[in-house]
Amino acid sequence: MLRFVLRRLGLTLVAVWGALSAVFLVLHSSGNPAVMMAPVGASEEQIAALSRALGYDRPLAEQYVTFFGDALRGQFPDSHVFQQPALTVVADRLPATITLAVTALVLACVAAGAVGLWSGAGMLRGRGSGAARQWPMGLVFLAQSVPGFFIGVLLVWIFGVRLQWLPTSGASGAGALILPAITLACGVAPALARVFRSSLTGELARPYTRTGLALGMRRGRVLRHAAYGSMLPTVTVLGLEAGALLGGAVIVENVFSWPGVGQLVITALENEDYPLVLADLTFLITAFVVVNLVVDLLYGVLDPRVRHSNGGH
Amino acid sequence: MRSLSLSRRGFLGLGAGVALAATLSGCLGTENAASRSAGSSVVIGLSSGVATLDPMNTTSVGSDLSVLSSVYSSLVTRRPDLTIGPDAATSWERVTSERWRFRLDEEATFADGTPLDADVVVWNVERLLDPDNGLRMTSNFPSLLRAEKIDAHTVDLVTDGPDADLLGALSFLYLLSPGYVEGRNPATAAMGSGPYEITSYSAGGNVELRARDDYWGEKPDIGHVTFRITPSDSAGVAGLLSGELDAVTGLDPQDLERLRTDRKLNVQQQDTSRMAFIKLNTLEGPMKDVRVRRAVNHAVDKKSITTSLLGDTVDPSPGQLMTSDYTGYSDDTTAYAYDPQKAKELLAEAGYGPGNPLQLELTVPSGQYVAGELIVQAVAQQLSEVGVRARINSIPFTVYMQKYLTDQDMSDMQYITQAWPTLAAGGLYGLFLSDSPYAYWKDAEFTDAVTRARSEEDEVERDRLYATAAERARDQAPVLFLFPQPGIAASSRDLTWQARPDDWVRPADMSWKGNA
Repeated sequence: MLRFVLRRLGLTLVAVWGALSAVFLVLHSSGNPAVMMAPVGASEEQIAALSRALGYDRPLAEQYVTFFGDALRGQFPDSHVFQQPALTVVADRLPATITLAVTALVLACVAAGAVGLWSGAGMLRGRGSGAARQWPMGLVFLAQSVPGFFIGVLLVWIFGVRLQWLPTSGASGAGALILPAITLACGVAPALARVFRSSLTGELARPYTRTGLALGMRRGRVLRHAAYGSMLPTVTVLGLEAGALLGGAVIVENVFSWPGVGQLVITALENEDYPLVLADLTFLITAFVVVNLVVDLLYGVLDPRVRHSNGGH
Repeated sequence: MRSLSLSRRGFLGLGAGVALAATLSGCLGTENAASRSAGSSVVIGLSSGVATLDPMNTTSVGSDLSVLSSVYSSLVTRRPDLTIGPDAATSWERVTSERWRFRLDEEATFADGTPLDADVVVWNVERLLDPDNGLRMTSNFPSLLRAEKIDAHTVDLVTDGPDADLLGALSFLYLLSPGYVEGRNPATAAMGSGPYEITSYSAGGNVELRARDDYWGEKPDIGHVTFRITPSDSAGVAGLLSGELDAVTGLDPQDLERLRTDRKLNVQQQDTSRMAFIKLNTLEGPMKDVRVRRAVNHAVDKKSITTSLLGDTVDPSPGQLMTSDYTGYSDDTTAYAYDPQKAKELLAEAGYGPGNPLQLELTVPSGQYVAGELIVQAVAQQLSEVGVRARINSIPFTVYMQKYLTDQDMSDMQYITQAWPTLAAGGLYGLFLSDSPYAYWKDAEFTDAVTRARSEEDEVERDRLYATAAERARDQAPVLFLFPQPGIAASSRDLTWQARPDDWVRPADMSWKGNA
């Protein structure tokens, strides 16, 4: 088990390093931020001096080594725009993103669980294909087909502008969380619901279900066993979707002006604020990889066969 | 056993979800303009976040400085009608051509009770001018040498030669408290002598202000201010329509109709102090020839562009590099008439025709300027009607700026908008002087007129020199003249507020009707 964890941890570090290197190189080949920072009318000498002060006049390889040297010690240069440590700025925005992502994930799990169990319960009662059992999956397909930013704008229009029940943007009060969380959940719930439903259906078709029912076990209890049996594929998808959740957060935060790290990274990119972009993406990438690591480890807990086959190498 | 614990967790999760939903539903319903009016608070939408609280280290009027102007005071201020009025200084006079004397308001104090006196001004000017501080505001004060204390409430500012633009620049110089800044980072902590104090701020996030009870100047009507950051256009519009936002500036002309049809809103439109044009690279390529530059000016029907793309919000510029808001503006120039035939003749003179069509590259930064990419397409289309083939190159703003300024590798034509924050002709024209990296134009006559005007003390003579420069620029056409960038603002109908052409959004200028 220890070797399995260490191996995964090593791969995780390589993934973070690779992704950050790619970001670093693309970012630094797109121009010199000193040009953007200098006030209008600045002379060439002023721009050159600013560039020197920020270290952008040094060879790219040197900047790269410095960046990773600092990053390994948990240090990032000051944000150009906010004139304070980049990591502080990111940390200030973290709670907003975590609140949004966790709420959306809970909503998505609840929705996916409800849709799957509703179908499963119908199957147990022998009413698999009625319209009443099918419409939740219809909703799921709809949510999957419509892009998140469109759902967001639609929800803003209906509940914010027309009905004026909920705020259209910002993070003032819990009411402001509802629309962005639903929008974000809409991006995650469909895949989750489909996998959970299909694997639950598969479990329910297996002989132990029939045996259980024949022995007079209550339907709810049978459903519970089947649900546990279908956890493995569901958790896999949950891990993958947690990544989509972070990507979706960037879009949803911008649609709803939600003051999280997703909105911050867009602003930072627009302002050529390289230290802030790198600090922000370091967080996003790490979060993505760590979630996948946790899923990998959880896999081992849920299904010992995985642990043994991987650890045996 | 495992299945049982998992299901128990499942039920717990479900319970938590239900509890969360119940909590959230308790917070349904949004505050509206009427309830804010009663509490004399206002919510203002800003399209970009406040990056720093240090007023000397930013030049963003629309966001940072608008917020900070409520918290700090300056010696003089630019009023909504764009004239210069008193703030911390009650009066001022020019003692000699290189020395201005300011009499400070003896009541003026910071929020912590320390007086705003001559020592404070001297300290602030030293901070501004110290090159080691690397402050962004410094370049707006090219001639300022030092401040000298005369007595506790009188201070002299000494310049290197006469500077007609000093007062305009001083309206940007917000005064920090030397004692407070000691040991604090002014970028994240602010304590000023203005009408409001900050009650909540996070980098790039919303900012909340409360009116000071002990403010020494005229008390503002609005007691509480929230600046909400709404980076996307649609968020600003949705906030206005739903009544969550009371005032938003810098709206897109495409949203104009939607906002006008809402009877709860008051829509204001005016020219901003930012001029849009297409810069021509006169240093190399076909644009070296003044006949080609004049030809493209004749070939484009600016009026049809403002009508179709900008909702008729602005009028074409009369061949000017700046708008009429600037000191030193002359209204003697006339626009290049839309005359495709004349354009073709000029092109033929320059050696271009059907057999040898003029081919150009036209660069536009993507997503940077209001309707920029649409305007450029319209221009390219109209140029093609006189036989000029303009290839549009849409690139990210950062790459655009890199090519324009650092690499000095501008394409034949590029769309740009330019403004000078202190509204001084000398500042804006500085971007067109022969030695400026912004210019791509070396014209001795223009450069000479502007250089002399900048240090001219006599206003009539100064304006005459600027008029000469304007006429020269119109004649030599270093740009394809277009129009001012439209300024569209919308506010709650019950809010009394005059939107400004120069991007400032100041809650002290606002009041609720029937509340005052």
